Amino acid sequence: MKTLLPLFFLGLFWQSPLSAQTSNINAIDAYFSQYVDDERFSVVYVSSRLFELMKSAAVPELRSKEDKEKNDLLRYFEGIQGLRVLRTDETPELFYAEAKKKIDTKLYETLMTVREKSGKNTEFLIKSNDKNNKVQELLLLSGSPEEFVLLSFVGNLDLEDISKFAKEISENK
Amino acid sequence: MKKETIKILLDKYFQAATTLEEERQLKEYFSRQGEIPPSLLPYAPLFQDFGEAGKALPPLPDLVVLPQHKSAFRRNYRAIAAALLILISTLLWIEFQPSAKNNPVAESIDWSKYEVQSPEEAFEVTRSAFIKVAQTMDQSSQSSSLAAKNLETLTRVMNIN
Repeated sequence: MKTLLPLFFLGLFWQSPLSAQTSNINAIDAYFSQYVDDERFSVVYVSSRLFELMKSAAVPELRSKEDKEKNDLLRYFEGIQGLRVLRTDETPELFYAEAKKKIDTKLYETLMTVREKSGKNTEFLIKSNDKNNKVQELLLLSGSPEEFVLLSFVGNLDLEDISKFAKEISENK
Repeated sequence: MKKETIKILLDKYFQAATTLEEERQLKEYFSRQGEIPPSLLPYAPLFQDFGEAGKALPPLPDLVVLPQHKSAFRRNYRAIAAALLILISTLLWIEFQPSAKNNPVAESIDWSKYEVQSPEEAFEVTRSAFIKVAQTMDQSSQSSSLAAKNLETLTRVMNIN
């Protein structure tokens, strides 16, 4: 009987990696699913398969040595495994407010909030990967009088890489 | 002993009223074969020894200790307990699964409908999205450094005054 007790507790608290994955996916999918088939929204999805293709040498157009920008960008895309975009220009500020309420803040932590004079509000939310200090998901929520955008990058993202790229953009202006 | 006396003793015997002495007398009387009147002969076997025939009876067999049959439950209680534990664990595990039932809409998204078709297109989409993220981050750092500069100036002015 004593030997069975550890088995019991193991069974009780064991959560498969699959179930953990499911819970991660569900948090954002729950929001996307609400508007994904809504005519007012445009939706774009880039799968991990396409990212693999982009990074591989299978597409020579993206591997041109002359095009430095493309090569640099592909380097930054290294950790990305998926991208989902949801956009609308109808009542964008309402959708922004609603999205902010619906995104589970227990799963995401706010990286930064940007409020502009023009009335544009942007929020960066991240889901960290404790194992390697990288970001598992980067969520950008943006709402302005013109548009509402929800961007979700998933994979193993390095925030330093993104800020490095941001600096490069700023320097090239 | 007289036949009448024996009859009286026999009556008492059948009424379970004889003493040990009287029973001994009956036994002694009926052991004398050949002297028993025919009317009393049917009672003789009741008081006669089995003699040699009795001694020749086969000895009683030794008591055989039969193996104790444990009940099916007692025999298999470990297996039953293990099965129950596994069952309970499985049920609890299923109960606490974040399943599609809890979030029925999440499982219903068919992302392939919205998937871009070529790696080139995917690159352009990702590039735009990545630039949007980077630009917003850059903008935010610029505004925060501007805010920091303004705060610095303000502090300096306040210190002078």
